[in-house]
Amino acid sequence: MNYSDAELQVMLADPSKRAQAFAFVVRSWQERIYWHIRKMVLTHDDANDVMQNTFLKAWKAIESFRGESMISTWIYRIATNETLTFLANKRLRNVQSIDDEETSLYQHMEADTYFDGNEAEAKLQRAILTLPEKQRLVFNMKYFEDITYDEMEAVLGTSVGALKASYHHAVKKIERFLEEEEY
Amino acid sequence: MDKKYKLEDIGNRKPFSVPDNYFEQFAAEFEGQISLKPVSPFRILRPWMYMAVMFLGVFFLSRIVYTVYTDNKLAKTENYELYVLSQIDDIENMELYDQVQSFE
Repeated sequence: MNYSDAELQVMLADPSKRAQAFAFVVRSWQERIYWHIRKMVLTHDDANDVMQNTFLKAWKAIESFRGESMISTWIYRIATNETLTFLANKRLRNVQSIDDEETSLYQHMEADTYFDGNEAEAKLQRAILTLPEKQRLVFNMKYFEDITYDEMEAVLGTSVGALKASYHHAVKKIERFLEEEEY
Repeated sequence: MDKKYKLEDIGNRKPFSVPDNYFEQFAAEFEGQISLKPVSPFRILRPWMYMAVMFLGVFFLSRIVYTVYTDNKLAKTENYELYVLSQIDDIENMELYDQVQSFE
C-alpha cells in the first residue's frame, strides 16, 4: 500500500493511525536516511545509532509536525542535525586523543567490517574527510545521491547559489587531494 | 607513497555495505518500539477528562466561595443583634418589653 505525502500527513495527525503511518515512513525512507548518515559517520554501528535516534526523535515530535515541508524533508533535517551532533560529541570525546577527528574517523572506517571500498575509493573518502562538515554534507548529497540543489536547500537551509559554490569548491579540493602522491 | 587518481575515474559507488536483512530488521524492530497497538480509548478521552475535571474543580471552588460568603454575611447579622442586646441591661430590656406590651 502506497500513500501520498498528503495522505500520510492526515494519518499522522490521527492518533489511531499515527503508528501505522509512521511505520510506513520508516520503511519508505530508512535506506536514504541511512546512507545520508553513513557517508558522514562512516561506520555501520555509528550510522545505525544515529538513524535510530533520528526516527525516535521524529516519532516523539510527530505531533508538532505541521506539514510546512514534506515529511521526507523534515526527517532529512532531523537526520542531518543528529549526525552533526553525533560528530560534535565524538570530537569532544576525542579532544585528548593524539589523532585528529578525521584520522580517527578514517581509521574506524577502514577497520569496519562493512567497508568494502578499493584503494581509490578509500582515498576518495579520505579526501572527503578533509572538507568542513557542512561541505562534506553538500558533496555527499550531490556526488553520491545526485540530490537536486532545491531539495538540498530545503534540508540544509542554505541558498542554491551557496550550495553550488560549496560543491564546486569541494570538488576542486578533492581533485587536488586525489592528485597528490602522498598523504 | 600513494597512487594518483582522478575523481571521474573513481565513480560514485558507495564503498559501504550493511549486514544481511539490515533494513528489514531495523524497520521491524522500530515498529516494535513505537508499538502498532491501537491507541487506547483512555488516551483519546484523556483531553476531555482533563477538561471535565477542570470544570468540576471550578464548580466546587465556586460553591466553597459562595458558602463562605453567605456564612460570613449571616455571622455579621447575628453579631449585630448580639451587639444591640449587649448595649442595654436587663432592666432596660424589661422596660422596653413592658412598653411594647402596653402599646399592644
